[in-house]
Amino acid sequence: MMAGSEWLRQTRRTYFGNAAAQRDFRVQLRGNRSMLLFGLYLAILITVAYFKYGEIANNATISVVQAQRELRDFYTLIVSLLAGMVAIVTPGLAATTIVMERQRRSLDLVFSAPVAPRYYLVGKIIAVYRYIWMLLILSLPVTAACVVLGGASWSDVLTVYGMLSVHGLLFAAIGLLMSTVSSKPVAAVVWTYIAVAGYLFASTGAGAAYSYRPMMAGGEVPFIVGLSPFSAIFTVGTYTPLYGYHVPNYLLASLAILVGVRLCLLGAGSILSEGRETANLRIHWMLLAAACSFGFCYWLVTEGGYSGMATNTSFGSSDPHAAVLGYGLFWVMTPLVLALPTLAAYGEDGYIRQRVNGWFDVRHTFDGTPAGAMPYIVLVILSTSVAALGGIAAAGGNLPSALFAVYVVYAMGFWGLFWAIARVASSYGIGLKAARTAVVASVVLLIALPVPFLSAVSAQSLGREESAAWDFYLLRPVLMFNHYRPEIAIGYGLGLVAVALGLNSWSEWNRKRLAVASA
Amino acid sequence: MLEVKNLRKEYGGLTAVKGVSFTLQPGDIFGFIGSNGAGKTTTIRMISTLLEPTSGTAILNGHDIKKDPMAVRRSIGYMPDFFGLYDDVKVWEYLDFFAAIYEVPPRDRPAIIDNVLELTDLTVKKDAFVQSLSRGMQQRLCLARCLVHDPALLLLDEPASGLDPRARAELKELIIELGRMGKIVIVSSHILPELADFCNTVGIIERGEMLAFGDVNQIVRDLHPTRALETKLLRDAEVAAQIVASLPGVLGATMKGENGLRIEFNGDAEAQAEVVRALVQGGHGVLDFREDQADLEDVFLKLTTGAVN
Repeated sequence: MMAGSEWLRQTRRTYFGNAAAQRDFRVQLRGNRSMLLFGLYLAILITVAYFKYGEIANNATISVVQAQRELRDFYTLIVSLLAGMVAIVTPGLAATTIVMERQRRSLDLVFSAPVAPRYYLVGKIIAVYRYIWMLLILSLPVTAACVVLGGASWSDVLTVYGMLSVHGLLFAAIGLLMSTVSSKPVAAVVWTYIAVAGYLFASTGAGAAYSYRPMMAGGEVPFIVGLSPFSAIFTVGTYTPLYGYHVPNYLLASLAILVGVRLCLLGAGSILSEGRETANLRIHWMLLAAACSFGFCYWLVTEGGYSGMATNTSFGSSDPHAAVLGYGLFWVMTPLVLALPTLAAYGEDGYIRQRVNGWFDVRHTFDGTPAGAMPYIVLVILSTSVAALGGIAAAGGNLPSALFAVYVVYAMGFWGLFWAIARVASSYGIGLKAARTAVVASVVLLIALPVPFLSAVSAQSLGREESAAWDFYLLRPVLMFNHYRPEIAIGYGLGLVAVALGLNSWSEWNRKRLAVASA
Repeated sequence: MLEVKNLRKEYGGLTAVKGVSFTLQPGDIFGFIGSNGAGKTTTIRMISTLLEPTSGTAILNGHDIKKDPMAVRRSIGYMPDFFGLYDDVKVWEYLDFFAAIYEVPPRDRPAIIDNVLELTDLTVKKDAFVQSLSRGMQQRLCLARCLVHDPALLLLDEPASGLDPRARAELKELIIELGRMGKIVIVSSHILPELADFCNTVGIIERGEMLAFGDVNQIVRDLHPTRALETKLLRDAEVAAQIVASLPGVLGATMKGENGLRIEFNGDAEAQAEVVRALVQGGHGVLDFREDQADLEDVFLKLTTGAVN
């Protein structure tokens, strides 16, 4: 009861009257800078609207249907401009907030007060969110013209505004995460824009790819179109059937984006609390991977895709259920590549210190120290595997054969290899940043670069045709070739585990050797 | 009351603090002395809950830094060895922000801000921007920030660094006043004579180990059980040395410079007066006679080697 009331009090304190939000907002609006920016922003919006509307109004020969379409395009243009504004302004507002605090060394003062990273980060994000809403509300006179002229309804406008503001939250969260990770404001801004650009590229591309067919067929577009602010307009009036219910796409897209916001904030909180909130972050990532795995498998069985696998001839006499689920298991975990440099590398980089405390210790699974990296990777692989099987069982499907276990071993070997590379790089005492860069470089070297080379050697491109040359490619066991060969998955799985252990032994020997030499 | 129990901090293979323990009562002003890298700041950061101890703990008025860090934070005011000020806010806004994060009710904040500004002599700067303040004023503003929530413990890490003599003197007075108000004040500093002036307790730390802890005078006495008397004579210092060497309480007398004597002494005031009398009666012409008192600096130099982690 006491804990509940304390949680309520802290939550109310965090979201209402947050001191960090008030301070930032006060500074944001101080002086003439904000007024000038608002004026410029409105001037751009009005100018674009004026010329676009003039183009429509001056066309005397236009039909009513054509005029309606033009007005709809006018509305789409305005929303795209707003999406662009959100994508440009929000990261800029958020990217420097934490790094500037670190530079002026005020973070220690804040965190010596009864303030959790959550309170502070939420305060920062509220200040940015409030600013974005101010910009959206300022644009209302322009979008109101669309409503009056018939390009959209008020509910369309409000829904899209809501979606854009949720995107603003995501970009602010990405900015805060980058700001927390970076040691210099310029680096924080650059990395934030790179991350946001990457997100926009991926989400817009995925939205276009997945919505093209249903749109052409006159069906509902999937909710993922709402993951990009530039296609948020398509979430209005569209639905996704879910267990017999028609759930609005804007709701599902917002939910997915908010999960992303939470993960970014947990990541930032983990760094700000010097690892004390890392457990929270890791548990969230693990549960998210397991939930995706469970949901995907459940959907696969209920939609009939799972039973259809049995007819897949590529797998020959092997169990296609086991093979396809193995493929799925591996690809569900690919976001690990983003976390791996942070998980496995150790060393020092300015204020960030990751001191080695062994190479495998289950007691450190969630605390963010190097000894907990491999236990955590193993736990994620196992929980994702169990969730996949659980999803199939829950939906009434037949469980795959033991062949599935080969893919679990392969996943461990694959991620273990990059973990071991991180430890080898770290063992040379080159610093945390350099060790993390080495991991990224090894991923590029072993995964991306061989593709054009192998394509040239085999005269066949990735995934199209089987060739002996591709057997040497690290991702060979999870590439869908015409002829499935289970022995490759088994060989790679065991081989990679052995290589990872060998590299780790080397790194431990090297680390101890250098420690003795420096002593 | 603050109880620090076997506080230890390890970073990988490096032990920055090796089981530091001490207890302070309300009103105590504790001078924390040590070279750069000795472990002072790490200890202070652990007590302020900014760093998690590897082992051991500290308990402030019943609240454990490990089990209940938020309650501890409500009772401490931490002033690091840097200002960490927000340049783009006014003085009262800065204090209002910290009062808010320390959960001071909004209706109480204006009065509290006025009070701490008065205490730190910054009332006239209430509406000035923080960036316009001098270094001394910024230092006082930092102290004002530490006081907005009326903490029981103040952790001041090198508070006098970079201040001019007047600002230092003002800061010293302020710290003494805070001690009088019943607060526990922990001050780390390199300026040892200053600490001796206003600290009633000191601790000397080196390579993460507490070498000495206790009352300033007691530590000095413990390390220097004998006193040294120095005298300057007009003539025959060597003869005078032989005379005083036989007096009660005198452990030895050695020549110091031209006609100077250094007398190792452990007698009482009567015996000390007897030494003066013997020198005068001997006709040596006493030009100067004083006790060479050991101070904190002597103690520090005697105890430490200058080694760091």
